[in-house]
Amino acid sequence: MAEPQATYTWKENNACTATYKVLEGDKFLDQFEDADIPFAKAASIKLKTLRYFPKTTTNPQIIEVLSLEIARKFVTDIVKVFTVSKQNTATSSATIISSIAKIFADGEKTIKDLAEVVDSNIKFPDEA
Amino acid sequence: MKYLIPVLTASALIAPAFASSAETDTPGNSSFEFNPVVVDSKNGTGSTVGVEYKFKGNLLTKSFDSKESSNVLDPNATIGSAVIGYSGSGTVAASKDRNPKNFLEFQLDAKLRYSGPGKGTVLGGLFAKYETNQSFTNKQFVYGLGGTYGKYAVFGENDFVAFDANYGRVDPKGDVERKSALGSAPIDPYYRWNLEFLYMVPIRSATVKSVEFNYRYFLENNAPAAIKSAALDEHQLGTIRIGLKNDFFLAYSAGKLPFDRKNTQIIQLGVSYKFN
Repeated sequence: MAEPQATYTWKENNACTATYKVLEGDKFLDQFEDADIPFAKAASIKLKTLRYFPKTTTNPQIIEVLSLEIARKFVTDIVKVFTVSKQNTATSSATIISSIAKIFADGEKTIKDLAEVVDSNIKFPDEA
Repeated sequence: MKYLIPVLTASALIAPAFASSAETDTPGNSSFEFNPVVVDSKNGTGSTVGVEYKFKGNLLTKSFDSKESSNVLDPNATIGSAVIGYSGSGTVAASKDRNPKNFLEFQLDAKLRYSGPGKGTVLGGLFAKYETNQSFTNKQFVYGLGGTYGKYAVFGENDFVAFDANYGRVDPKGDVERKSALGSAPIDPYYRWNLEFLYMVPIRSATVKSVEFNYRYFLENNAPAAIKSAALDEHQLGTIRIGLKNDFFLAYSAGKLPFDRKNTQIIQLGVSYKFN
């Protein structure tokens, strides 16, 4: 599994725009409206404020199950929109989904943190 | 046996993948979060401010994912692993006597995990848990079997349903309410079911962002008559929460958790804080 960079910059590359588009899109995860959270302000938004994150329970087992489910849907939607491949052939698709699920499970993580893990594991067309 | 069926199911599903590969993650993957809340109980002694907290981490994760030789990203990949982890959650109020969710949990567990495309995700295994109220005057130790199942996009594109079940042996030596109810009778360990259901759905409207329903149920097996008459054998708490624009929310709870003795209805109004 590829390790995230020491510092990651939120910018209009494929990884950040794919993360934003899949989280925001009505046809995808529909977690917020672009009028409320435009791309430029999305980086610092904590995942616990998004619609998928449970507010009536702190049960860690339920949150773990939820994070794996939404991570799979997230990757499915990215594959629908972009022609992507793995950054590292040796890393399994299951490991990549699990890495993304770990971010979804931690409400203190931000949308930028999610984009960073996406970028470090998934190769987009703008990466030659 | 609340945890037994999910454990057997998870084992059967994961077993074929064991022969493929095994990857061990280093410990870590920990998280901690808290949310300020204002809680008010209809039958309590008034409102109080508090903090909902939760933390979790994995001590050991062993993955049983199949190795791949291509660079194709497969969103339908099957996920299987064994995990030893810890967690804790609860609500701590500024005034402990006014805390209507006066129930703190700290847990250590060892479980198997399976996730397949379109099938949902299941966890199952062993757990040991310490439960107490905020002042630690009532406390008990529980261990047993448990399982959790959840699935995304059940009735709509982005809704989520989860069911969590535990069956465990409770050592209630530190439970003063139970001691009082039993009088001179011995305070023996007992077996208890602990069930939880969650449903969440995002709402596309100008004012409401999401609707969430949670229900927790505790039932003691073969409770003594003195425990039943003191209404200590069964506890349930249902909560509905409506997420509003600008991070405001309205929540209503009915029922009580173990160690809560006087509150039956809770109304929460608040805003989700963003600490950046």
